[in-house]
Amino acid sequence: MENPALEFENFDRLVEQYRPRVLRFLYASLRDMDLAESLAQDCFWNAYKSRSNFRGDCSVNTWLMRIAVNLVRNHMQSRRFQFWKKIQNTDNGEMREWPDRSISPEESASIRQQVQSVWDATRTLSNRQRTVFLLRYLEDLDIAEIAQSTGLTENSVKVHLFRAVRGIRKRLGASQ
Amino acid sequence: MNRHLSEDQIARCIVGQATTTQLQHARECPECGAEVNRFTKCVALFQSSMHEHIKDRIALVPLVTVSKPSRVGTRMHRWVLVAAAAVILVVLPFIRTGNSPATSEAVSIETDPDAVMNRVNLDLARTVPAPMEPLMLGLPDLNP
Repeated sequence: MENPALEFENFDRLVEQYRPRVLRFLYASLRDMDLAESLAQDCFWNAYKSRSNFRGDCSVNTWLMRIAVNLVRNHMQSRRFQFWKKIQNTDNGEMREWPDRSISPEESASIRQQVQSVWDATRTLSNRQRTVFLLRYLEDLDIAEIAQSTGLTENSVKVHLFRAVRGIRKRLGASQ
Repeated sequence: MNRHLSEDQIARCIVGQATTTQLQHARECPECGAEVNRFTKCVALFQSSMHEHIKDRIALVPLVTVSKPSRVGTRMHRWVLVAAAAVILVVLPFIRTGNSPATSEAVSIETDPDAVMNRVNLDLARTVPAPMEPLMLGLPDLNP
């Protein structure tokens, strides 16, 4: 791994490198691309402001994810979100067509349905379970990294992950 | 191997918290193995799809570089606030003189029921509308 302190030398490069991960996590959590873009900017801005506090005890990716997790948490708790949650009722979070054109339209539709089912199932989870699930299965973070990103203990992460998977399986079983 | 894994045991196999016996069962039992694989495949598809989705989005929307807010912008912002405050200070006396005591007195009179009735009676007794009364004073009296 590159020396984390060196990664801050060129902040634009850091943004370019980590933007997809941060944006992906935020979008999957909030299901609103505009909001995810806005919070991704906040995430990098916060990271820039507090880069001198980065002690290097975790990777830059984990550190950015911790900021992103906090932003999502704050946003969920904000009154603005409560308001929008009431009137929005739906998200624009629909997956588009499966990009691989080598497969048939039927297969594509089936895959799309499976993907949508998983994503919809994450909505039924608690915020903490969803965060842990997304960090593990979307961002491929291990248990220790998830614990660092969320501020939970490793045991707690394991419990939330188990419950999340059990909940999603239950949901998937019900939808099929 | 008569009994299949329970829902919880399958979930534990997926998250890597299963016992050796449960993992061995999942490997050897086609049905339990299929359950684990089905979930793993769904999640992998979700991950790939989300990665593609974001990749497309980033290709569409250019990178926004993070930089400190410009000092010029901050200064401009301050000047706008100062200008707005100056305008308010200049305009405020005119607005206050517009609110003359007479107006507020008229309003207070109209809230009194007797005064309102007197005013209505006065209006009904008029031969011409009130705004035209000053004009009528200048006309010669046509009545014999």
